[in-house]
Amino acid sequence: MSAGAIRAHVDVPTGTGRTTAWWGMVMTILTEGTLFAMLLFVYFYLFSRAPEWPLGDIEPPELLVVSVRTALLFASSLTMSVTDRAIRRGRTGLATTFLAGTIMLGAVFLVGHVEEMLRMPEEFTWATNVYGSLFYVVVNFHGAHLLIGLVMLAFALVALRRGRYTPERHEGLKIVGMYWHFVDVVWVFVFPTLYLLPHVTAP
Amino acid sequence: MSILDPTADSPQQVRQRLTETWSDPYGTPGFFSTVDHKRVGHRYLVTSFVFFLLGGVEALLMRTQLATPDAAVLNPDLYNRMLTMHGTTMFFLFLGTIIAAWGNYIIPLAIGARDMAYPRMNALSYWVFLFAGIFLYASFFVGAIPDGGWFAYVPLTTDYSAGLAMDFWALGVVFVGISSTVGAINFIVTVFKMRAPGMTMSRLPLVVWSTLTTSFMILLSFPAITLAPLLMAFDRIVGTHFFDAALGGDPLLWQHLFWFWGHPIVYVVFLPPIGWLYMIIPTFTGRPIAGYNWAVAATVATGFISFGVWVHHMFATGLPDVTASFFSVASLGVSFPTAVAFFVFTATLWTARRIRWTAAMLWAVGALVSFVIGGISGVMVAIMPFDWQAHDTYFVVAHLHYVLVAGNVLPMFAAFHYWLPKVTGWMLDERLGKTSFWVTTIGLHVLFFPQHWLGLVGMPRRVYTYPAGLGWDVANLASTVGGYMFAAGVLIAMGNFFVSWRRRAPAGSNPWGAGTLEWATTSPVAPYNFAQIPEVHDRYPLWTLDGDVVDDPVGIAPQPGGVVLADEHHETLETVGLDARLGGVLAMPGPSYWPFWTAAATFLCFFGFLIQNPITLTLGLVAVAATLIGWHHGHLTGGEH
Repeated sequence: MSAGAIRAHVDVPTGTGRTTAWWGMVMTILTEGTLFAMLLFVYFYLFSRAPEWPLGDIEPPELLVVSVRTALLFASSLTMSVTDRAIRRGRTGLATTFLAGTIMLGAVFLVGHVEEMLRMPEEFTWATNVYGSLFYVVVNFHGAHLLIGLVMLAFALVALRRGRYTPERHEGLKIVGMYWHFVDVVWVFVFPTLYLLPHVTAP
Repeated sequence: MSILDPTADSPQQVRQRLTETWSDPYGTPGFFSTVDHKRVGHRYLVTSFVFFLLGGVEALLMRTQLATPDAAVLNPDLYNRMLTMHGTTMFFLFLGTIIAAWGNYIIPLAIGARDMAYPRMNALSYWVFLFAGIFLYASFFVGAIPDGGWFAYVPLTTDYSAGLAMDFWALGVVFVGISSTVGAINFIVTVFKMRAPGMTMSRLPLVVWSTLTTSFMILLSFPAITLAPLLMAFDRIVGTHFFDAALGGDPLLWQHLFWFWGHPIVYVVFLPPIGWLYMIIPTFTGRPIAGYNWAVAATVATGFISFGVWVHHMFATGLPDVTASFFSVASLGVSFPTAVAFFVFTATLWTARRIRWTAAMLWAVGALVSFVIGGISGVMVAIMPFDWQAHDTYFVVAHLHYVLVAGNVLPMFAAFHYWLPKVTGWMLDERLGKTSFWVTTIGLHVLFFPQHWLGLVGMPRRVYTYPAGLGWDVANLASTVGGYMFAAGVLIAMGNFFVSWRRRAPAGSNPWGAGTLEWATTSPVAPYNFAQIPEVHDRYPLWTLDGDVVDDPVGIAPQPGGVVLADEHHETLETVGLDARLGGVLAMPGPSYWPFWTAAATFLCFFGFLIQNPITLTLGLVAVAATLIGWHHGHLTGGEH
């Protein structure tokens, strides 16, 4: 096939408006956000019907380690924003450093999550009562989304190192960043619900 | 506006090149790798229809059992299983997917695009749907047909359903939900980004408005049908206690989650078919739809209000009166936009120049008239004191089936008769089409109307038999006869398809003299849809102001100065904003095997969860990750995205 036999003879505008990828990520976040909202609805619904919270003889969760992890996760949103700014100004090296930093912070959070999942069953499991069921299911839902976010960030890092992103064209990095911010925002709701609330309501 | 100049080549050469670029590989490779929205649409049509027939056979088995008192066609256990699979099949594998079928086929054509926004995701949504359907029906072959009802109320489905039966149900429902969600995102982005230049939101065909609205509804309601069965699967398989009252769970939670999905879904499966009627009725009345803005407002308002009505399924569960009253009012309120839609149809018919009673038009108007009965009984059950009487009786069965059969199945046949000439290139037989309409529609009323009466005299729903002498015998027999009549009508419609297939009366590009863009291209549609992307100035671009058909429709022949695209890649136009300004040229991905493999890997995950085998589950998850990495590998290597 003869390439370019029929080619543009006027300039086609580019870079105007939101791309299909941007719209797709917004819609994905909309439906995933609804999923988490429903999960938290389930939590508060069952909490509102429970005689005590936590149910049974379960102690409220430890706060120290998870607070540090929370701070790291929120910091990762900041480093992600810096990455986004850096690539828009064409500073690929800076973007690479901060993206790697974002991945590091996220990975440390996830390691803490796994450590918690291995440690917690000594106190209670998902089969102990519905408080346990909620704790494990909600936390692991978030953990799974975080893992997916990390894989996406890793992809973006490889693409960044191969020079696929320029100040004009960095849509992939931007939408991966949107997903990462989304996972962090979910934690803004999950952390107080799962970790702080039981301390407030414990007898 | 012209982007590309076709004057260098003749229209035939341009079309030849576009065909080479957009055609799938021949044979089996093309079958598994196609991302063409038209082929995906075909598959959705055929597969959904097969599930419609399966669900119909299950219904007929139940109706046969109920024809006479104390019958022994089905034993109670098998009756439960047929009841469950009938509801599950119809809701998850037919009603919701037939709208995706026509959506996939028609929407890119109706907005003047060459494909969906994400062609590979489109293929994925079909393969996931197919694998999910196979997953659910695999239960027949291992003797674990789901038995807890399609509504799957706990604890019936947790404590009292042993074996794999309800595991198949719970996981299958989550599985098919993935397909709907992926499809909904695709429709939204397609409508926002892929409209032809000049197709402002106020020029959008109404079927596109209704599909857009339902896609948003899917994004906001399907998480509930992902979450609820998933939590049920956890309760059944892993040992959590979400629905177990003994350890802090709550059975009513199931109903809240299920109906938070379950009520909006009724509008999800009803709005797009209303959209088909919005396309069909103007064509055969020869005038634009009356009150376009009202129709749009009614569609969007229905979408909003449908989220405030789920508790009307729970009036009999002893909720506080204030709560129930709120939902009663909301349920009454949803009838207002529906009424507006019906006034729009009435006004269009009323002011018609000349109504052409084709088979498609008969099916469409028959659907409207039949639907009114379901709408009125809906207002009745929204009123609490009435609902307390009618709840869990055949009255509700009658209402539900009137709404769904008249609101989805009859419009489906209208759409078949209207759009099949575009899909296949040949006409359906009009006489057989009209015969099948009358047999099916009279069958529908004989089947469901007596059930109102059965409910009012106290026949409970979901029972497998009843003793003689309760005064239910005649109505039940009539209902069963109606069921067979309905089935005969469906068989006649299928016969029509095969007879017309043999005859192949050529359709031409616009056999009905319709005004919307899907009729501006050849029948069957060329692989590239439009040689020249049309520029739109009107709601009915193929009609003149007087309603006559334009002689030389846009898009068929590339013309100097027209918007034509290059022939090197799958390229189409991207537009910006609600007024669809030209945004640029999009390079679309070509055929790919990854959607098929991703769906297959997902099947492995669900299978591993079902048989509670951690190794299979892990393998499945790794396979999903691997296919997704393969899918996006082009991002890293600089290939097409």
